[in-house]
Amino acid sequence: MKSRYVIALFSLLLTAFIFKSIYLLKASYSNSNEGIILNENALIGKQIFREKNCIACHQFYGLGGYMGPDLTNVFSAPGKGRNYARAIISVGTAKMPKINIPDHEIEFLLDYLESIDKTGESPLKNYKVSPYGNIEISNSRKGN
Amino acid sequence: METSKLVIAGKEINLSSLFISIGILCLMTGMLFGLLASIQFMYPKFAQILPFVKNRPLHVTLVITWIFSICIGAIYSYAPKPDSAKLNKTLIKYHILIFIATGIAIIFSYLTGTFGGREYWEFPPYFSIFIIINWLLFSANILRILLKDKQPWPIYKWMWFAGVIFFTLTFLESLVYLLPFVAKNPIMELTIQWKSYGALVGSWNLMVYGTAVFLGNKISGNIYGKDTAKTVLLFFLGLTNLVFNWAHHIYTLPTISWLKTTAYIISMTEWIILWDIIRSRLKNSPASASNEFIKTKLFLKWADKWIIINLFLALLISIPAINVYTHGTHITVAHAMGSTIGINTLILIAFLFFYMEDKNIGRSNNGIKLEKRFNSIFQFGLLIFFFSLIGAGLTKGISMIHLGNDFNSSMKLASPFLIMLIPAGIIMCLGLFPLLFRILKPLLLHTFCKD
Repeated sequence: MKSRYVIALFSLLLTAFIFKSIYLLKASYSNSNEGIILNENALIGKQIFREKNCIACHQFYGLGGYMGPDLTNVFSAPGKGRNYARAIISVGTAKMPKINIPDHEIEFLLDYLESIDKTGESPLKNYKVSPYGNIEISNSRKGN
Repeated sequence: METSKLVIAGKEINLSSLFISIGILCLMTGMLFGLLASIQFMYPKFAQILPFVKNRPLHVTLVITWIFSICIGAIYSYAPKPDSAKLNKTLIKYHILIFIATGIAIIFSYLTGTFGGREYWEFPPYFSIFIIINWLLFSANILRILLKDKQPWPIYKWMWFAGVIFFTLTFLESLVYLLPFVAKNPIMELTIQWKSYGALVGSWNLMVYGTAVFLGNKISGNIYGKDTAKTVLLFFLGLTNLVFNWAHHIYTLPTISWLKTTAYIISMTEWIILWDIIRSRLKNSPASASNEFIKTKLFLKWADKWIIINLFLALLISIPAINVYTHGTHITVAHAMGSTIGINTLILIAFLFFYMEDKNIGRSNNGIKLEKRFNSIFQFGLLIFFFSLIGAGLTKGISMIHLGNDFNSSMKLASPFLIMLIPAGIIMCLGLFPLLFRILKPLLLHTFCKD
């Protein structure tokens, strides 16, 4: 294959990559997916979640470590909720150490988890499979 | 082709050998941390001096550094043509110093529990500045060399070039979560994070596969020969997948639908690659009478087998209806580990043996008995590891999605598979460490120009 074709194809793919990145940034800026926006308390909670490296063991939407459960719906899951999550964070479990942070910071962390819960469901239960193997997520728990 | 030598603190140092030695040390320590993590996964109270939350990022970072160090060593060593422009030694000097200093600082931050808390790069984000500077120093040097070469490039140079460019872009993109409007929107943050990560893995895969193609060319004596149109098309198919096929990570995320549909369609083109690999294996007999680079050929042959297994698994989990069951389970880990160990690591070990033979480092020994024996042990461990992860993932997926069980009971069901990861890890270390030790000693002597 001639060099100029290789250069043209490479440039085309590079441009596609950059345009897609810009599109996603624009979508985030305009919040065009109409998703949940974190408030200030939830943002502080997110920072605590990161500083404690919770993602090493937990996941959101199945993304993260697998030692502990997916935390996406820890607020809305039957038998769980804010008090349940607060108790686990404060006391720990056989597998999870107690998180040593003041009570008000635990509340920020809970605000963050509550916001995530409103964004959707994981593991996915409400979806339709198309004849081509694609899936369509049901709107019942999609954001908002 | 002489590898560049540098004088640092009055000592003469062989640049490529230094990166390769660092890579080997990172692999060995990374594997030990991985083994410890597999024990802690089953017994969380084990070795609490280094808990899982610190151990996991150490394992991930060191293993990624292994891949990068060897690729950097390979590119520094073989990207410049013997008669063309030389590497800029000042840039290399700063590259090495920042590379080592940043690596030590990141390990220290993990050990002291200072985290940034994002998957893959779990260090605080300010370290990214040094990683970017470090990468730009490397990129500037390599791009300068490559772009001065006016002859048509062999495809492995295109792969290295694409890997260098796309790593820069994807790494920068992985940092956009620092922008306030992205940080506030968790779904878009996850979408962009996994777009960048999917392509980022693709970028280092390009450098590894470029190294594999380079080895193939070199062994067959076709180093500056022309690539076939098919090879070039397969490269572009891979690159198209890097750009579009990252969304299998986020099929279950309530985000922009067309991104996921595009990824699904593009990912299915990889069946062409799988079909082509199998067809060419059936057609050609790779057996060669020559004893030259025989150890390299051994590991490339095994990498080839793992490419077929991993590509088949990757294709299956790229089908959204299947992905719903496998996502968030150890099948994803099997996919990641299978590719990192079975493909990338075996290709890079093949490169290590090539480098030793090509540069005449250590004893000139064309025997392969020992390598075959230890490789068999390693492959046995890897097989147990891979299929235990598949077993654990299937059990968890069926238990949680199909039977509606909770996390704890699903993990209990998967535990017979998960416990197998410990002996598998031990067997892999027993197979690989003796080989790496045999390479490391003469390589370190070569690094400090004492051979």
